[in-house]
Amino acid sequence: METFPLNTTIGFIAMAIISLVSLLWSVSLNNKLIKRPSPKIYEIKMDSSKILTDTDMKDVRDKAQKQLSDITEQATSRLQQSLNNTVDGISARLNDMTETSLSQEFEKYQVSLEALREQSIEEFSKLQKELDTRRNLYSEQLDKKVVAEFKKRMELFDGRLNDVVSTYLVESLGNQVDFGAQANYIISSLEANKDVLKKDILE
Amino acid sequence: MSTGLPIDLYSPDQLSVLMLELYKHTEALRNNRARTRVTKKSDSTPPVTALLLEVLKEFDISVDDLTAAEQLLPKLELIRSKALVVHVILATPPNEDLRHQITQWFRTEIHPLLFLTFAARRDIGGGMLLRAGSHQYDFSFRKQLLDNKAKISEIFIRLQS
Repeated sequence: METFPLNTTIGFIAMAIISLVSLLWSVSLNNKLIKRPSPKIYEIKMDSSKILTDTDMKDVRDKAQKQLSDITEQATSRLQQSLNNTVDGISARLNDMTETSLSQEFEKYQVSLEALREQSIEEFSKLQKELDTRRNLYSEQLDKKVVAEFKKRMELFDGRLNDVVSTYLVESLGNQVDFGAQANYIISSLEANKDVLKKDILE
Repeated sequence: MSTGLPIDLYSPDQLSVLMLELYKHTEALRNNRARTRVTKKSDSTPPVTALLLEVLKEFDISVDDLTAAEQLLPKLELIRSKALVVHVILATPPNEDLRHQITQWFRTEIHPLLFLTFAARRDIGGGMLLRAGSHQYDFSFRKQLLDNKAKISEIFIRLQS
């Protein structure tokens, strides 16, 4: 993307340089033509033989200047035309190059992306399969462990059930409990709450 | 003369039945007395239940003492009208021994003229429920066990280690 403006800029700079050089060259030619020394021999001849009058000299000079001007104009025109053609060519070339390279780059990019996508899909599929496998494996292992632990706990609980229940009953109900005859428990409960009972019943 | 009630007389219903029996007994004694005046022969004393006999004994009244028996009736009526009643609910109907112990405890510790009613409710497991007026007390096994639910796991862990 950055190549296009850079190339264009370089083209413009080149054009400017060429134009400047052409201009300088034409000015230089012009100066050379202007400053070309007139052969003294003619002046001497003119002065001596009076072949060319001042008026003739002036006409000649005007003609020469006119021809020079025409030549310069033609040269400038041709140069301008040449420059225009060059610029158009360069521009077209730059466009072609840009389009070509951009298209190629895009194609490469698309190919790379497609390959990456396929690779990613493949990797993810593998990962998913592996995860499923591991999850099933761990799930089965966990189930087995839970069942085993449950069995173990139940066996332990069954083995200790008598102790657990007996201890629980004793600790919950106290030592006065005799399931055959509950008199001690009942009387001790009444004794423990005697004051409250007396107050509530007699009030 | 003892003012207490016999331990076998524990419920207000019993007292009502007893008063009816005492009333009939006094009538029988009155009839006996009338017949004796006419025939000059004294009839045998009419039979009474063991409970009435025990009550008469508690009040130092002879079985054939009509006047004392007649005076006892209003006393019993007064006791019935002012009786304190406590309802006792047990897991099973109480045997005589347990009923005596409970009645004895209430009359000794709470009030000598207190009456009890007994009922059975299997779901309490054991122990008893008490209801006196608007108050209720739960001394049942079920409540004790439910109050200590957290202990069962605690005991299990303790016994495991």
